Amino acid sequence: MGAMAVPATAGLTELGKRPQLRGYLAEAWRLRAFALRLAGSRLIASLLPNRLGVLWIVLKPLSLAIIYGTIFHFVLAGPARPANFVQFLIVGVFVFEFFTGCFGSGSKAITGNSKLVQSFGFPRILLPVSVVVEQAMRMIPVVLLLGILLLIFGEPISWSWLLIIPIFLVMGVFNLGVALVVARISVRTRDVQQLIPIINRVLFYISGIFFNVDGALADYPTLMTIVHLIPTYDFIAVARDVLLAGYSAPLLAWIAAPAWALVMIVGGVIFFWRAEARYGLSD
Amino acid sequence: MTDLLIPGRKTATIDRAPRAMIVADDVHINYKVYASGKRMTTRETLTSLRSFRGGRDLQTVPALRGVSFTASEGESIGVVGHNGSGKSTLFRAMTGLIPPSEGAIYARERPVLLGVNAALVPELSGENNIRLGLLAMGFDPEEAAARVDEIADFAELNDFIYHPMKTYSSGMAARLKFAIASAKAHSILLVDEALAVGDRRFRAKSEKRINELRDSAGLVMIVSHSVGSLKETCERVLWVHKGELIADGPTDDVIDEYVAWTRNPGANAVGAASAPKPQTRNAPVAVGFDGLSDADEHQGAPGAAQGATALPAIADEPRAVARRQRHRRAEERTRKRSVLLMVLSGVAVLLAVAAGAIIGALSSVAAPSGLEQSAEPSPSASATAAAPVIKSFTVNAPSVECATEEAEAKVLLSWQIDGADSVAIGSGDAQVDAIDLPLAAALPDAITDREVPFSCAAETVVYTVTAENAAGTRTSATVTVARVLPVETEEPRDRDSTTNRPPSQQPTEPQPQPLTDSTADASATSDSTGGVDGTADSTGGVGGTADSTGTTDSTGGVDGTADSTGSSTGTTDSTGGVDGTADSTAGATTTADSSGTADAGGVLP
Repeated sequence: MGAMAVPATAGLTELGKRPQLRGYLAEAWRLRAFALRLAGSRLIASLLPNRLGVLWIVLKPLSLAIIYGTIFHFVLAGPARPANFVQFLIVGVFVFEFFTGCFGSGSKAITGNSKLVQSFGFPRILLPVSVVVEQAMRMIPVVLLLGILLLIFGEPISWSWLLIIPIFLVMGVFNLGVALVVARISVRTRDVQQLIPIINRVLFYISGIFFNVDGALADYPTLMTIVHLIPTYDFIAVARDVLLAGYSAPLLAWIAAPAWALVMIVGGVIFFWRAEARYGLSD
Repeated sequence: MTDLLIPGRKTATIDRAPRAMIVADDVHINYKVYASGKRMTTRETLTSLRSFRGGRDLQTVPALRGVSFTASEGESIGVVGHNGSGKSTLFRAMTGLIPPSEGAIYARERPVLLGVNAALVPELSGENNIRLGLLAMGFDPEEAAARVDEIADFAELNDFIYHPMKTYSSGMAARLKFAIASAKAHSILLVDEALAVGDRRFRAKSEKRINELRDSAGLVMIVSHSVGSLKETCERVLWVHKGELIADGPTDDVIDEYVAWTRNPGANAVGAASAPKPQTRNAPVAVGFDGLSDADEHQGAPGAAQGATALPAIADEPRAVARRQRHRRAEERTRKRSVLLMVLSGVAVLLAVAAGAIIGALSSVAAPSGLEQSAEPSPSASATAAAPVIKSFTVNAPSVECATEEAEAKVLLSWQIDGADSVAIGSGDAQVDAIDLPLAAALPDAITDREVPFSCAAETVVYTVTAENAAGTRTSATVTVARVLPVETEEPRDRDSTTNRPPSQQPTEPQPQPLTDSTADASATSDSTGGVDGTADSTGGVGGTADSTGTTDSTGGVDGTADSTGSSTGTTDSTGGVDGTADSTAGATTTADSSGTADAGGVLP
């Protein structure tokens, strides 16, 4: 039996083995149109059933900002209260929204598309990519709204606002790395999807969305340095730095943000790729 | 018959000339099943997990046991076997979805599997699914766009092509999936019973398409229970039984054998051409097996005792015993696991309770440290034991601007009282007993910014809060609010009012530290009767330091003493009457400025 197979396998590739990383990425790049199309169709399909359609994209972060703004306006006092509270808060909420979106739907990138995975043999990395692309598309109206709101609240417009685009790009790279990691983990350990809201909540509180970390932790320099290294804090702080006149991010955040993106994307791609042969098992 | 039961020889003769498309080399697939039923299949990643657990609760269920065949281009191969025999597992392994536990599958190109239940993306329209499918198969976007119509036409979905795929019937969905997957030539197409769902017309069409694909050097493998349609489309058939390939040969031979074996095609194959008289299901299985297993030499799987070499009825007894034992073992494991889970969750609950207790203990430890401070300066409070404690009583502004003497204004009072049964506020030009002369009664223990009227007729108004506990012990505290009239009406007061204004216009935050008793001392003076204020303080057990301010007005010395309490404001006063006011606001503003008051004292004539 085995003897029969040996000469016949010339020119054939073995199935159920993960491909070489280089070829894998090249194939993924070749099929990028698939990821983009999937992202676009998904986005539209998710909005169509709602009566307010695309408005929900901006209504959700906006309502969050209003709720947090109202509550914490009364709760916060002292050094933890940032200078321009409203602007500070909406930048934080809107930028954080990008992360939670990628994190949450990234965990379902494979498990939610198991039919697609079982039907076609495309590189699975395209599914987390399409999730992040979809979330990035969602961010476009949100960022526009953010600009308008900042103008309304009297933030002076400046050229540095344009820096928000590269910041979001770098953050998207970081989010992709995170999505790749959670996508793979949640294939075999579905429980991760239960953990994600909890992790989101923790990050929400320690990233200083609605309070000034520097002020609140002024007496605890070690703790403050740790908080300064949290990736979501870094991206939010950097975004605030370019958008708000009265805020400047610590230097550490400017260094840590791209470093996090690099670490997560490299680690995420390799981590995801190593399980490439087994994603079809999810059902 | 013996001939076609030796697949190796058979296939070897078949694929001499054409290129091999798929080679399955001794493929074993074991499902790892937990007693709970959760499946873990992959060998490599499990090694760590299994060694960790010692493999105790993993059951290995062989789904394929040494399947080998070679399929070449231009072939269309049918796969038969009863339900659960491993056909679908074989197909999924051939698409690379399930890595083989042993052996390997080689393919020229990644096969495309058309399953009945592959729904692609249910939320999207059929059109979008076509596009996505084409892109996923590697078409360019333009190419995909160009072919959408062609595929939609083939699937005959008409206007439904624009509807979401989740609204499709299973037949429509199967047609669309077949249309998409068969759009690409040169591919290995695995059809898993997909043709059974289409209607007759579509079936004819799809058979034609399969033939086209085959002719264009593709390979088509079809799982079907419909031996009739297999006879039409395939020239070679594999028979999979209990994970083993027991026959591989020309369609007619194998199908005949299969039909003869089943003797009851009605049980499995719906569209079977020949449906002889039904019999009991078990007997033919045993008989058929008996005949087959004699010739069935091609597999050497050590686990053979478990299944494929089934014996006739005599051997049924030990098998049943073995099965029962297996079942019992599995049950035992399940029970152990559930006990373990219960223990674990119990431990988790205990841990959570412990954590809660620790947090509670910590907070109760932390809180007294604050309480002790506040309790300490008032030994008198413990003496009078049950007397209510007025922790704070403040006004939002020490003075109110009045347009005229007839005007009415509002001031906002805040207080926090412990141990009170009833609380009332009163107003007057000196301290009053508010429960006897209430402005408002039956108020809560703690309130922020309670609005009370302020009459501009009086120069100052003293607001008193009186708390009474269940035993009838009363405690009072006061704040004094001064009127500020426009400049032209009150010549001598100009300076006062202007100097008073800054604190009054700035209510600041709700005072951060009103919880300490010392703030109450600010309220403890009334301008004319220092003695009253002294009693208030002592019964309240609060801020004894403020008692020194209970002196009469009009002496500059008052200011000095007020300063000495450290809680006074920087409001300057040249008259003692206002001086009381200044003190009373101390708790509210807490912006002590002793030099300011000292100056004021010096200004006094």
